[in-house]
Order: sequence, then structure tokens, then C-alpha cells
Amino acid sequence: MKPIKVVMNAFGPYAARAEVDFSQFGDKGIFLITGDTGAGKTTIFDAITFALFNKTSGAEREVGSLRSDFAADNEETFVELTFSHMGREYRIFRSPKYQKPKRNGGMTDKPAKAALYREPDEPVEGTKAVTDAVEELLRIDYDQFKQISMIAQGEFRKVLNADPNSRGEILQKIFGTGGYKRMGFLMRERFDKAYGGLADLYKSLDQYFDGIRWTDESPFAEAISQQLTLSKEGRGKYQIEQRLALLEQMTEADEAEAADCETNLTAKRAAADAAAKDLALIHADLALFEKYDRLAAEKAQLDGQAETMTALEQNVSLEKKALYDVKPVYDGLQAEEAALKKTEMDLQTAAGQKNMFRMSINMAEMRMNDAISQMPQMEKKKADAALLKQEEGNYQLWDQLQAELAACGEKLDAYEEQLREKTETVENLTAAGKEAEARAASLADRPAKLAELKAEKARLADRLLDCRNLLDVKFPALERNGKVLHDSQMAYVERRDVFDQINEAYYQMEKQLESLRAGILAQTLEAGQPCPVCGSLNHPNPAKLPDEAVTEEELKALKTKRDAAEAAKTKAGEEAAACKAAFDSGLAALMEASAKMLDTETEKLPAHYEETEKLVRKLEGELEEKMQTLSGELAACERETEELQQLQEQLQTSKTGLEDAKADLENLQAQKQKVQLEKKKLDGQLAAMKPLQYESLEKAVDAREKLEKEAAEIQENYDKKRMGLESAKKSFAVQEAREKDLQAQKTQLQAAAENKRNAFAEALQTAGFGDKDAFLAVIVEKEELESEEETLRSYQTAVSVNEAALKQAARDIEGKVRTDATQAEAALAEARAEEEAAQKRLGDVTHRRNTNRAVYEKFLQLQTSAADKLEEVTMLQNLADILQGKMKGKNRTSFETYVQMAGFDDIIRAANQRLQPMSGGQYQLYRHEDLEAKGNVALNLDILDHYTGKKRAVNTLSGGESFMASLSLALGLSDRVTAGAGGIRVDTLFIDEGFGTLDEKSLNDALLMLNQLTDSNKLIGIISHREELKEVIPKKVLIKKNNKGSSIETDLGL
Amino acid sequence: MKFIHLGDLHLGKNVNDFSMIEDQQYILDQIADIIEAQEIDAVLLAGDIYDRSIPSEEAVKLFDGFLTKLAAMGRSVFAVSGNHDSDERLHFGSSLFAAKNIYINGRYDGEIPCVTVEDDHGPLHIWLLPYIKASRVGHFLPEADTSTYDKAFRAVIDHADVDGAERNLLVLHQFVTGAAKEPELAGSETMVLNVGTIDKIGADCFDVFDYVAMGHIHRAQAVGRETCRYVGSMLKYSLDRNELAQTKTVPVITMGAKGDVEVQLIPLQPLREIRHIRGHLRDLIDSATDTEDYIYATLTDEETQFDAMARLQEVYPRVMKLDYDNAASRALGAEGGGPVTEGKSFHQLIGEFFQLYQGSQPGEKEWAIIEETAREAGVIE
Repeated sequence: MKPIKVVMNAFGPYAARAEVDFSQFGDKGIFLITGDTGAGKTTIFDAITFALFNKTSGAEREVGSLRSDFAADNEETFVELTFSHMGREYRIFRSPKYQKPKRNGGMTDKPAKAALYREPDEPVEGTKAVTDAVEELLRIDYDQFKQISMIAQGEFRKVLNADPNSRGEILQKIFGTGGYKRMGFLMRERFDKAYGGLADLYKSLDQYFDGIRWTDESPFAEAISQQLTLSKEGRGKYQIEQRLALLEQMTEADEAEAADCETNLTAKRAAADAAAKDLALIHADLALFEKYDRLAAEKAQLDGQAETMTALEQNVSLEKKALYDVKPVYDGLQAEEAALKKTEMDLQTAAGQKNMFRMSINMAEMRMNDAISQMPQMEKKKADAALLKQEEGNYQLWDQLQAELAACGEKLDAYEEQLREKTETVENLTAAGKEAEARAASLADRPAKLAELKAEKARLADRLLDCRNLLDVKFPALERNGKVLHDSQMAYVERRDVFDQINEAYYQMEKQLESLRAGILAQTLEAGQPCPVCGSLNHPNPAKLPDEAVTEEELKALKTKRDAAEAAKTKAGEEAAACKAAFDSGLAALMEASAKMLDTETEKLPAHYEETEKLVRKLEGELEEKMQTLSGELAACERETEELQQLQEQLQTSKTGLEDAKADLENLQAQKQKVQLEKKKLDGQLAAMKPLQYESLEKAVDAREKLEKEAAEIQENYDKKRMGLESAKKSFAVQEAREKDLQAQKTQLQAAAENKRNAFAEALQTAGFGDKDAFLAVIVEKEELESEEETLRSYQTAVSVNEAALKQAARDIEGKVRTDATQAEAALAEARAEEEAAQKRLGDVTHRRNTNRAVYEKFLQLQTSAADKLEEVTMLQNLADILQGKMKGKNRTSFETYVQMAGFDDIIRAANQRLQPMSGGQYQLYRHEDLEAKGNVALNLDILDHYTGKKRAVNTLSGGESFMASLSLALGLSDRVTAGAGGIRVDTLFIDEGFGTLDEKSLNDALLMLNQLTDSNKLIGIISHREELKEVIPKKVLIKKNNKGSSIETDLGL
Repeated sequence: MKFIHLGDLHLGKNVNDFSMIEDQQYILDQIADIIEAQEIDAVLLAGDIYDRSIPSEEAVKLFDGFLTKLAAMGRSVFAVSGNHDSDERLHFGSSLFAAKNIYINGRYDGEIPCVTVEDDHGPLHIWLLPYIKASRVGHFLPEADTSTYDKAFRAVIDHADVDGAERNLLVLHQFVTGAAKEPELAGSETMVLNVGTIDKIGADCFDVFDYVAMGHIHRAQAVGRETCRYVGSMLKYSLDRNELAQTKTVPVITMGAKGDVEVQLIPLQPLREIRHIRGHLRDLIDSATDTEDYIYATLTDEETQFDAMARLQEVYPRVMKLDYDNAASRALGAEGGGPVTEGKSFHQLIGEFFQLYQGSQPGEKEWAIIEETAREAGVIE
């Protein structure tokens, strides 16, 4: 992962957009990020990790606080990172959740957003989805990224002191030892499964044992209940041997008992059988006596029924005769008579119908005649229709003419309307034209007036300007001059006073000097000696020496001073004079100008120039007023001039319009006349036509069609009637024929019936019936007859049977006695009960024996399996413990860690290649090697100090030393990672502070070492505030901070 | 007129945490003696006077002493600031010092300050150009092409309007190369990250000057011609092998009439040498000599020696650095061959692992389960 460009907007201390373009630094090399504390250096790293993984570096910064406090309300907070990985370019846009003020007050939540763009694949959207996609792409997550690619502020110790688990995870990623870890898990799973299986086996054994049967009297009862208690406590698995022995014993005992029961049962059974036999004999005798009694009763009953049966017999024979002899003949007769009646009826119906048909024939004839009579009418209608058809043409012509007439009428109306409108227009235009002309005349003089006003305004403006010039420039100037004059005069007075003072002093001093001279001289005076000054010999009052001595030099000095003061005074005087002159001249000029302005004489002006100034000011006011009014007038005049112009233009256009309108009017009149002529022509044509019968063409056509239809109807009617007559004639003929047939049939049937009648009478006689009625009274159905016969037969049989049996029964009971069976029954019941009990006992014992035997066999089987399983479980536990590094008491290094250790050694070697030069050959990293150590220490680090020759743990290093060691380790990691497989590429390394803990020499060594790195294709970013780094690293990102947030500048070192 | 060419003093520098101030004092005194003995008229100081932009009090005191001495001896001094100096701080008081013929220049504003001196052969112009970056040139000469340092400096020289007919001398502190090869470094230069990429200037850029007095590279050498020289540092400032092998010198330049320039190199003798010694610890301790020197010791013992540094410091109090040259350290330098587990088969790894932690190899049944599990985990086919 190599960043190409990162853009931060309203993020961290950056109020608006800030970007760092890493591509400017080239593909490799070191660049420096520097700036004031809190300016936002670490924020650049935060932005990168935030964009990638939605987290920030360092433990203290939270994602929620990323929005810049300096940001304007309408700025969005986001980070956009463009980076390359494995030759492809990607871009991530990510925005955190934050609150933004709403337009109407209050805060609204902006949700977190993220998107990953990876042409030509489709982009990924969504906070979590993008993080997942990045982790998949780079093959590392945030923590691992930090371990490999970033040494964050204050966290470089973590790289050294990483807990073995997280270090293990990274190494797993790098060396792909995940498979070995998985092996450990799988082995543990196998063990768990086997262990579960073993537990199941033991449980089964318990359950089987639970199934044994025993009785309270059994000698094993105690032992068994003891075993069952142990099962409940879960210690059954230790009792397998004992249980096996117990089961064996029990099975034997059960066997013996079962045999015992069987013998008992056999004995009991024999006894019961004997009792049963005795009882049976008694019962048999009792049965015979019973039988005899029953038969005797039966005979008595049969005798009672004898009479009834005789009567029945007689009846039966009569019935037979009636049914078989007479009835058939009777039935035949009846049939013939029925047929005859039917035929007579049919004949009647046929006659009736024949008459009906004759009547209908008559009707039909009548109708047809009717129809014929209408035929001449039909002919007439047809002729009329033909005539009408011929006339249709005329109707059409008439319609056409009407239509044209209507059209003409419309046109005329239209023209009338247009004419009216046009006349109106002409009138309006003429009126408007007159109005405009009048107005234009009134405004004719305005242009000239406008010119005049403009000139006047210009003059006024000039005058106003002069006035203002006086007020704003000349008067103030004069004041200033007045002031200057005053100052110079003051100065002069001052100088003069100074001069006077000095002069006075000078005189005093002169006098003093004189007196001193005099005093000195006086001292030389001696009485009687002449005074050098006046020659007197008397010295009544010699001069005294003044109190203060004064020297010539002092006097000279004071003279010089005085001269100087005098000169100054003179100068000041001259200056004052000059000022005055200037002022006066100025004043004169000003007065003259004011007089001119006020249009008066200079003498007439007030004495003080300030009064004059007031007058001038007043004049200014007046002029301004005048100016305003004049401006107003001028504006009005301008407007009117414009109006005049417009009117003149208008007049021109309206004149042309008017002419056009007049022309149109004439045109319309002509057209109207043309149309009127046409109309007259059409009227003539219409009048000339012949009058028509009907109002319109349609009506004529309708009439014709009606006629034609009527004619057709008449024809149809005639045809129909003719056909009706013919069909009626046909039906009549048919009916006649039928009548004839029926008559013949009737005659035939009469003869046959007569025959049958005779036969019946004969049969009656033969059978012995008196008449038909007697016969009818006897006749019954065949089934009834048969059942009566049956009854007779069975009675007879019963009588004979009963006789025989009774005889036999009497013989049987000869010599026998009736005895009581109750006692024998009781004895039998007892014997049977005993037998049953014995049977039941046998069943129980056998069941128990079988069950226990089955348990014993199963038990034996399972016990062997359990033993095998135990062996397997022990082995698997051992393997799992070893592979996962969980051996009790020994070194807890898993197989995976063992493989990783070797890889880790390699990394340490690469790290040492860096650490050696950086520490001046003093330090070297080692992997902690102590096979006896408790706990998982296989991936811990030690450091060897060559100066003392001793090894110690890395957490004893000082800050600067820690930094060097962790930097070396990070570089070693990234070296090996890139060299190995796994698809993880580390092209960038960020170092956040840490150089501050190094002394100058170590810093130089570190930079030398880092510089060598830039030969490989790596980009190294350093945050530091150390001055030396600024001087030595040319490519810089400078971050400036002020009270409005921070900003970024790039310096490429030129 | 006779000049002595100095530069890259780096007053106040620490080497491996040892303050060199005493050694620097000693050397400056020696140089002052040379100036006296050789009757040198003026001193050229070609930059990197101090080691840091805010120098220590001792360094400032040292330089003050040196300048005062030179002024007392009546010699002129012509100095420019280097990349290690702070331009403005070095420039402090320079207009006042000028009264005593001490010319220090740390500013460039489009014009190269020039001091003209007179000698028997006429006027001699001494141009003082401090260490500047190309961007600064662009700021003051906007029409100039400053895309590379070479082009920028040609513009600077063109604009300076040097009269080639007269004698001209330039004091300079930049990275200048000859046509054929780049200058050799001593090893204590800290322009680590700039080496020869963008900031090199061709030596022919300064052909108009009769002598170019340069600083910046700590190894004394001529570039292009004998009269265009780097003075080199006056003391050894690193433990680099190249630097330790050198002898430090100062050039003395005699400028006669136009075209007549003589250069003579005077060797310097430091107060304390910096030496590199090699051997077993025991031997080094037993055969200790010149114990005041700064020592860089390489131990050849195969085993790491207990308290090596402390023991060595007993005889050599000024040990700057200690390292080892034995099989282990050589192995470290060699390229890593990948983890020791690379190339080993799965069976080998398991075998070794079990041997190590169980004391025995897995049995046949155990092997079967291990292989099955490994296949399930995807470790072997």
C-alpha cells in the first residue's frame, strides 16, 4: 500500500480543504512532516488509517471527534485517499458521522459514508463494506497495519512489547502458519469426539447393567443395589470387572432356579388332569336323563296339532286344480277382448281426423282466391316505383342549388361585418391623428428652451465650484498660515525672552568680572600708592571681591551663548516677519476673490475674514438651492422634448395606417357587389325548375322503396297460400287410407274373442267350479300353495322322528342314577389353580434368566470396545496437547509457534541488520529462548548489549533505545514480509515522533540507516519537530497553524 | 597577497557524544601560529563556522577568541555562512566588524557582496557568497532559470558582473563537482539525503575567479583545477575509515599578479588522534598505548565479552565506539536466507518438533493420525 494523495476537508485542525500529494516526492525516499505542536501532523496519518480502516492511530483520538472545530457550517467533513497496491490504483472516500447545524437552528446528524473506487471493477459503498474490502485487498487489518507499517506516536514500545498472541497473529499472516494452528484444533476435535465416544460407551455399560432383574430374596440383592448406587454416582466405569463377575454368577443361579420350577409344574399338571376326568364321568350320566325328559315333552306337543293338519290337506288339493287347469284359459280370453276394444277406439279417432282435414282444405282454397285478387294492385305499384326512380335526378340538382345559395348568403354577411370594422378603424385613426398634431404643436418650442437651460446650469456649476474652492481650500489655507504665523511669533517671543535672560546674565557676569578685576586690582591697592585706574592715592572704598569667582572663559562662553541666542532671536524674528507677510498677502488675495465671488467691493467686506467666510458659505447655500431647482426644470424640459419627438414619429405612422385602411375599405365593397350578383343568378335558376313532388331526395327514394316492397309482399302472400292448399289435400288422403285398414282389423278380432269364450266355459265345468266367481274365490298364488304343502310334510316328519328317539332314550336311562356334581367341580378348580401358579413362576424365572444372560453377553462385548477406546483417547489427548502447546508443566509452545519461531528469527536477523548500524554496533535483538519457562514466551524479545555482554528483556530499554529497536523491528518485518509470499506488500512506513528521544549521534546514525533504505522501493514518512531533521531532509510537508485552523505547504527542497 | 583558506570548522560539534571543543581550541591556536609564521595577510572562512544554527556558549566563546586574536594580529578575515550556520545570527554585527577588517557575510539579495583590497599588484576583489538554495535565487532574480542548482548559480555569477581582467577571489559553500567525477566525501558530512541529486553545480561555473575557496565537503581536494579547492574539515569528525586515514591540511594561497596563484598545503597536528584498533579484548587492554586518544575498538573475540566497554574504558578513557567482528557479526551482515524452516518438509518439521518437546518421535499409529489431520487442515496434499 503506497499512498499517492490524501485530501482532508474540515478534518481535524484543517478548517477547509488540505491535501498532501505524495507523488511529488517520487516513488521512494524520505519526507518530513513538520509544524507546531497541535498543528495537525499526526492528523495526516489519522486520515490515512481512517480512510482505510475507519480507525485512527494512537489510542487517544476517537472517530467521533474528527470534524474540525474550525470548519464553516456548510463544509463537509471527509477524507479522500488515492493509493496504489500491487500495481493498481484505488481511491477511497470516507466521511465520519458528525453533527451539522440545520438551517433553522438545532443540529442534524450526518451519517457516516464510505466508498471505494477500483476501476474497472464496480465500486463498494457503505462504511463496513469498504473496511472489509480494504482488509481483503491488503490482507491485513488495522492492528496489523499499525504493527507493520506505522510506528505511531508514543506507541513504539508496543511494537517491541507486543503480547505473544497478537504477534502470533501477524506471523501467522506472514508465514501462513494458519494450517498448523488448524491442525491443532482438528486434533483437539478428534480427541473430544473420541472422549465423547468413550463416555458414551461407559454410559451404555451402565444402562445395560441397570437392566438386570433380581428379587429381594436373591443372595446378590445387596451387591446389586450397591452397584446401582455407584452407577448413580458416576463411578460405574470403574466397576466393570466386578460387574462382569457378578453377572456371571447371577446367570448361573438363575439357570438352576429355572430348572427347579419346571419340575414342580409338571407334577401339578398331572394332579389337575385326574380331577378333571372324574368330573367328566358324572356329567355324562346327568345328560342322558335330561334327554329323555325333553323328548317326552315334545311328543305331547305334536299330538295336539293333528286336527289342524288334516283340514289343511283338503284345501290344498282344491287350490291345485284352480291354478293349473282353469287359470290359463281365463287369461287368454281376457287378452282377446282387450285387443278388440283398442281397435274400435282407433277407428273412431281416424274418422274424426279425416273430417278435420277436409275442413282445412276448404279454408286453404278460400285464402288462395283472396291472394289472387290482389295481383293487379301489385302491378300498379311496380309501375309507380319505376317512375319515381326516373325523377331522382332532379332532386339532386335542386339540393345543389340550395347549397350554393346558402354559401353566397354567408359570404355576404361576412363582408358586411368586415366593412363595418374597417370604417370604424378609419374614423379612429383620423381622430387620433388630429389629437397628436395638436399636442405636437404645443411642444414645438421645447428643444430651444432645453439648450438654454443647459447653458445656465453650466454657468451655475462653475460658480459653485469656485465658491467651494474658496471655502474648502483657500480659507483653511489661510487659517493654517495664521496658525503658522502665530507659532512663529510665539517662537520669536520665546527666543527674545531667552536672549534677554542671557543678556541680563551676561551683563551681570560682566559686572561681576569687572568687580572681580576691580577686586583683584583693589587687593593690590596700598594706601599711598596710586590706583592703576584713576591714579588716586586714596582708596576710601576699595572694591570687594565678589562672592562668586568668574573667569574670562566663562564670560566668553556666556557671550557666545548670548550671541547665539541673539542670532536665534533675530532668525525667529525674520521668520515671523516672513510669515506675517505671507499671511497678509494671502489674506489680501482671499479677500479679493471673495469680493468677486460675492459680487461686491473689497472695502465693503467685513473686517474679519471669518465673517467673510460666513458670507461666502451663505452664498454657497444659495447657489446649491438654485442648482437644484434648475436641475428640476432641466429634467422636465428634457422629458417634454423627448415626448415631442415621439409624437412626431407617431404621426407619421398613423398617416400611413390611415391610407391603408381606406384602401382596404374600397376593396371590400367591390367584393361584396360581386357576391350579390352571383346570388341573383342562382335564385333565377331555382325558380326555373319544375316543382317536385316530394320535399327532398331522401323522401322520394323512401317512397319508391316502399312501393317496391309492397309489391313483393303481395307476390309472397300468393305463393304461400297456394302451397298451404296442396299440403292440406295430401293429409286428407292419408287419413282416409288408414280408416280403411282399421275397419278390417276389427272384424278379425271379433271372431277370435268368441272362440276363447267358449273354451273357458268348458274348463270351468271340468274342474268342478260352479261359475266364474267360485273359481275366482279359490285362486291363490303359486308360492302360497307350495308353502302350505311344505308345512304338512314337516309335521309328518317330526312325528316319526320323535317316536324313534323316545324309544332309544328310554333304553339308555335303564339302570342309571342321578348324582350331584358340585363337590367334584370344586376339587377340580383347586387343582387347576395350583397348576396355574406353578406355570406363572416358571415364566418369571425364565424371563429373568434370559434378560440377565443377554445383559451379561452385551456387557462382555462392550467392555472390550471400551478398553480399545480408552487407549485411543489417551493417544489423541497426548497429540492434541503437544500440537497445541498445552503439555502440563512443560514448555507451552504450540507447533504453529514453533514454525513461527523460525520465521521470527529471520525477521530478527533482518532487524539486527538495521539496529547494528543505528546503535553504533552496541545492540542486538534476540528471541527469548528458555525451554523451561512457564507460559507462552516463545515470541518474546531480548536485547544484547555488546558493551556489557549481557542480555536483558526489551522492556528495560530507555525511550530512545526502544525507539531504535522498534524501528529496526518494523523495518525487519517489512523486509521479510515483502520478500515472502502471502500477498502482503508494505511499501510505506510512517514514523510519528520518536526521533525526539534520540541524541544527536543516534539521530545521525538513524538517518544514515534510513537513507540506505531508500534504495529499495519504499516511501518513508517522518513526523518530527527536530531542527536537525528539517535541515537534513529536503522534501518537507510544512503544517502551519493559526487561530482559523491549519494549512499545508509542500517544500521540495529546491 | 597571502591568504589562508579555512572552513568547515563545526565549532561546538560532538563526535559520538564526545565534545571536541578542546581539540578545536588547540587546532585554532595552531592555525593562528601558522598564520603568524607564514606571514599570512588574510583568512578566508568558507562556511560551517558553527556546527549548529544555535551554537553552544563554548563554541561562540571559541570563535570570538579566534576573531579577536586575528584582529589583534592585524589580519583581515573574509567569512561566509554555511548550511549549518544560521545566516542571520552569523551576520550579526558584521557591519561593525568591518571597521576592523573582519568581513562576515550571511546575506544574499541578488548581489554578491564584494570587498576590494589593494596590494602591490593592484586591486583584488573578494566575493563573499553564503550558502543559498536555488529557490532564493529565483526570488531575487525572477528572470533567471532556477530549475537546477547549476543553472541558478550561473545566473547568479552572470548577474554579479565580475570583471575578468582584474583579480577575483570567491568564497563559497556549495556542492560543486568537476566535469569527470564528483568530489570524494570524508564521511562526516551530514548532507546525507542530498547527495549529488539536485544540488550539484559544475565547477566551470566559477572559471572567471582566479581562486575559489570552497567549504562543505570535509575531505580536502581540488575540483577541476588546483585553484578551486575544498579545504576539508580541520579535524576528523567521524569514525569513517576514509576520514581516519587522512591527514588534515590547510591551503595557503599566494596571489601574485593576474594569473599567478600558488597553493601550498600545510599539515595540521591535532591534540588527540582518533584511532581504530582491532583485536581480542585481552590483547587490546594489555597493549594499550596513547591512551588519551579517541578510540574506535573492533573486538575479534568469537564470544561476546562480559562488560567489554567498561573494561576497555579502564585503559582508554575515551572510547567512542565498540563493535565486534566475528563469525556472528559477519553472519548478521550476510543476506538472510529465509527462515530455517524454509525448505523443510512437513515430516521433518513434525519430527523435530516432537523430538524437542516430547523427547521422542511419534509412533506409527500417531503418524497416521497426524497425517490425516494435516491433510484435513490443508497443510499437505
